[in-house]
Amino acid sequence: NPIYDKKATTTAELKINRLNVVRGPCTGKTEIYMLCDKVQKDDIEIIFSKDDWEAKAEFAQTDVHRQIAIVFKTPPFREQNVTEEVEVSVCLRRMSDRMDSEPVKFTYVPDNADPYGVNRK
Amino acid sequence: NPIYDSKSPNASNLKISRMDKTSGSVLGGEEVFLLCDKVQKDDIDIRFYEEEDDGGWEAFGDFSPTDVHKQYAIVFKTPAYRCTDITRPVTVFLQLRRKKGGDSSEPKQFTYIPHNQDKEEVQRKRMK
Repeated sequence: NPIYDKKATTTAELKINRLNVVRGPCTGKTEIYMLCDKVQKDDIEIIFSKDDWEAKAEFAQTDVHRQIAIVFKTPPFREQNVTEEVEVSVCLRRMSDRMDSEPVKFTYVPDNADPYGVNRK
Repeated sequence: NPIYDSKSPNASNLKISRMDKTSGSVLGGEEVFLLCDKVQKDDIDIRFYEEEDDGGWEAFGDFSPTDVHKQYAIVFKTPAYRCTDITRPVTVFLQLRRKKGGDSSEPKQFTYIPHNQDKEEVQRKRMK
C-alpha cells in the first residue's frame, strides 16, 4: 500500500474554505477570491460544472497567493441567455492525479442587458 | 543588538499583497478579503487611519483569529469612518500592525463612500 504524506501538496486532500463572491452573471469574468488549503500553483485548476458541462476558471500562477488563496475569474456558463438563476458546482482539481475537492456552490444569474426592466413592462 | 530570525512571523516584514475591495460605505461593516505576508492570528491588527496635524483618526478592522486563514489571508469588516455624514468620498489609509512591538506594513488606500450616494447605488442595483 502506498503511504501518503498528508501534508505534501502533491497528495494532500484539496479543500475550499471560503469564497468572497458566490453569485455572478452567466457571461463570466466575475473576480473571486478563494481561500483554500495548500495547493501548488503549477498543478491546480478551478473547475465549474453542472451535469455534463465543465469549464475552467481563469487565473495565472501569480494569482495563487502563498499556496492558500487564489484570485480567479469565473468562466462563462454554457448558455449565455439563461432567464433564471442556475446553481453550479465549483471545485479545486489537482491536474497531476485528477483529484477533486469537495464542491462549493456558485450561482449564475441572467446577464440582464435591460437592467431597469424596460422591455418587460 | 538583537538578532532576528527572518523566517519567524514575529520578525519578518508585514505586507498587504492584495484586497478584494478598496472602497466601501462610510458606515463600515463591509467584508474585505485581504491577502498578506505571514502574520500571527493573535498578534495582528488592521488599522485604518488618517494623519493630521491635530492628531488624526484611527479605527480597526473587525475580525476574530479564526478569520485569519493559514497566516496569509484575513477576512475582516471595515470600521465606520469617524464622521458618517460626509458628502464626498474620503480616502484614508490602512495597514497591518502587530499588537506587540507595533511595527506595521506599508499602507494601502481605502475610500469611504457617502451614505446617501451608497443608498442610491443600492437602489440602482435593486432595480436590476
